[in-house]
Amino acid sequence: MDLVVRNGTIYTPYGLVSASIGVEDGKIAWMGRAAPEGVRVLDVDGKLILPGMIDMHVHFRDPGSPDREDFETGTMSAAAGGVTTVAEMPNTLPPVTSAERLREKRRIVERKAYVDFALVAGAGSMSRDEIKPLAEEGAIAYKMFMISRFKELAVSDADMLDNLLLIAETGLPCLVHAENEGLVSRGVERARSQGRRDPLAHSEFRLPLAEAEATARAILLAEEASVHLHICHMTSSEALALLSWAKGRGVKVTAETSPCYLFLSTDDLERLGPYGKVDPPLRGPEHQRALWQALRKGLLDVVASDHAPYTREEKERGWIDIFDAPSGSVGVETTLPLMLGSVNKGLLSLERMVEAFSTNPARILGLYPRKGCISIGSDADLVVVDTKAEFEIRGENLHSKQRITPFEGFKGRGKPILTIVRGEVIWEDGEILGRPGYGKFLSPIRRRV
Amino acid sequence: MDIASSFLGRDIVSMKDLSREDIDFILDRATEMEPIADRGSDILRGRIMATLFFEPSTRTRLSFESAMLRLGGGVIGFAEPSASSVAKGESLRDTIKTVENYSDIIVIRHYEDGAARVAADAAGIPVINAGSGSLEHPTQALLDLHTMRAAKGRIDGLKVALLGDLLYGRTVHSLLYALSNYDVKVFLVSPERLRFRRDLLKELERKIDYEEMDDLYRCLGEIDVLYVTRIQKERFPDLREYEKLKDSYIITRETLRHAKRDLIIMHPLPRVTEISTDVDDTPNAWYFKQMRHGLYVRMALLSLILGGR
Repeated sequence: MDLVVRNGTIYTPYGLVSASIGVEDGKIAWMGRAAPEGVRVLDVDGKLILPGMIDMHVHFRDPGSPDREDFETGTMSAAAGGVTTVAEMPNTLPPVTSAERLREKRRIVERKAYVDFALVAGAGSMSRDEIKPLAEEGAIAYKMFMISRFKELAVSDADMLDNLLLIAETGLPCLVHAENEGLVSRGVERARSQGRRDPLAHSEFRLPLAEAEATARAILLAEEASVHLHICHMTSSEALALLSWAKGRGVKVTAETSPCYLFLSTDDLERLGPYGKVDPPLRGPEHQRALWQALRKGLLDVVASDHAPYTREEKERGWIDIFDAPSGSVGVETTLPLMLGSVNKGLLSLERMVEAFSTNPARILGLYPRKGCISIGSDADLVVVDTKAEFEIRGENLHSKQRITPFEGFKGRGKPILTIVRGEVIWEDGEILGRPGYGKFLSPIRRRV
Repeated sequence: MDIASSFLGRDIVSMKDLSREDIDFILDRATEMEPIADRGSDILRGRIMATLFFEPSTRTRLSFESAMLRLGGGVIGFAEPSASSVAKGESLRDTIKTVENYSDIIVIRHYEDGAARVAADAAGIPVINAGSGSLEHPTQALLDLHTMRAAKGRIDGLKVALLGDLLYGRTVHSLLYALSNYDVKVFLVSPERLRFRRDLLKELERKIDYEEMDDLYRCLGEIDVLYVTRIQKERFPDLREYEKLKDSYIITRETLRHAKRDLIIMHPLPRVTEISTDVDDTPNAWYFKQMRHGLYVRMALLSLILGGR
């Protein structure tokens, strides 16, 4: 064996088992109580071994905005957070709206990646002819914005249905940012006319209704198109009710939320200012409770960071006028510790946590069982966790280019201490051991094109 | 020879190979495995299980792997046939001959009818069929029985409805064979187009009390167990046919209002839309608990066949 991880407590969907893992050619080739011989042997002393986390919603800003982030720092940050696979969003410069642009982006970022990565294609109003070629080029999914922030990635209702019908033919899922454009922009106008510029105004004038309305519309259109719809960053109890309704009807729909909505609320906005500005906005504690409940029940399928870094200069403007600051926060490195802390507190079972942050993303993206489980033949993507160790989130320790995190000072028990990607240790307790270019481009195992 | 030693080195290829006495013995052993599943053991220390999955079924494979690990054994294998020499045209027999050098027991899943039998005949070590072709899935049938027994305390005397695609679903074939060893009444509820295979039904005719129908409501009020199956898209030559039939049978909370209060609903999973998610929170939903029983049954089989104490 190339690598043997001895004395682990291995996570399986059927409960934890004490065993060792043997890796050959980057894949799990042995599991068992006895440990075979290995070129390299790591004894983890009974610690918990989870399948590598899969963050299916990150923005690494590459190419286009190196002052915010690039693929090297982004994937280093992922590695340090126990994330072994990322799905990266198409709103880079230029946006990924054609097979050629996907190929070019892959070429640029491939030599920088520390962890495995997949690229999401844009499916805005402008990319109709390119939808199928994007799948052929290896896109993992499509993304469309129901708001107009990113011009080439936004869709009108009519285009949305046409695009969804084409996407259905590829067999890939379509990710959506679901908010009603008109309601959102009217809210901003209204806030401005009332002289509101404070951090709370962003939440107060950007209503759960805008999210719920777009969620309902996306669901109806997706049902009509028989496409797999995945709703990004769900935040409100209204949207959750619609999700539950759609699933009950048999619509193929999944949804994610992010740690921002699970761990922060409008109560934190004054303190965080522009660093708490995300889209959709932070909601009140009653929504937060509904999200936890939905996550525990399995109604919410996925936790993803929506890692969306902006520079300090860009963010700081928001202290004077919140609407002048861009929306987004860093998070790829802090999601796993935050979630482990919640498992430790009894807010969520370990099974649900692993499902939401590894197995389900792998399933949705067509990477399962190569990724998302510890099993013979799967990629040896592993995170070793010290469930007793305390973590404290400190922005200064992050590997992202942006080191101001809304979770500054958050503490808990359950700390990732080792990240392995395809049998190589790429991060060990504070130290990056991997190298840029090691991360592989991933396309779905199975698709219909 | 006592019954425990009759399992040593034995192949588990078909439900037809197992007598009622065998089945009851396996189920008893599975019940004994429940506490061992939680704490783990060294019963099969040093023994190695190889998994050969020529058809993807991660759920079943993970369940076998987990069962072997809990018994203290080891697991090797390959998940996708493309990862092995099979992709280069090696015959199943040759693959088995190679794998048996590295392992003590083989777990096989294959898309062809009879493949597990071929493997068992070729292998000098025991073989467990984890699903082959469209007919046989014995470990699923055993876990289904174990689930029924756990929920109802017995199998004899139960009224069981098998619902959905009874023509192509291999789990229902094995399950009906398994149930034919007991004193049960079975309702076979399916669209006309997806009825149970005539030749197989004929085989079982004298062994089991059954009735065929296309309307669940004709038996819903009297059944104890409702076994729901998916209508598998990949088995249909014509997709339009699939679309026409797929929503024929959907279980909702409303369905439950017409059933016995203690009806249990089972499903081999993965579920698509046959059971509405609002049923999940009801005490009638046993389909997630079924998975756990799969672990116990597979642990029981591995320990019986490999003779672990």
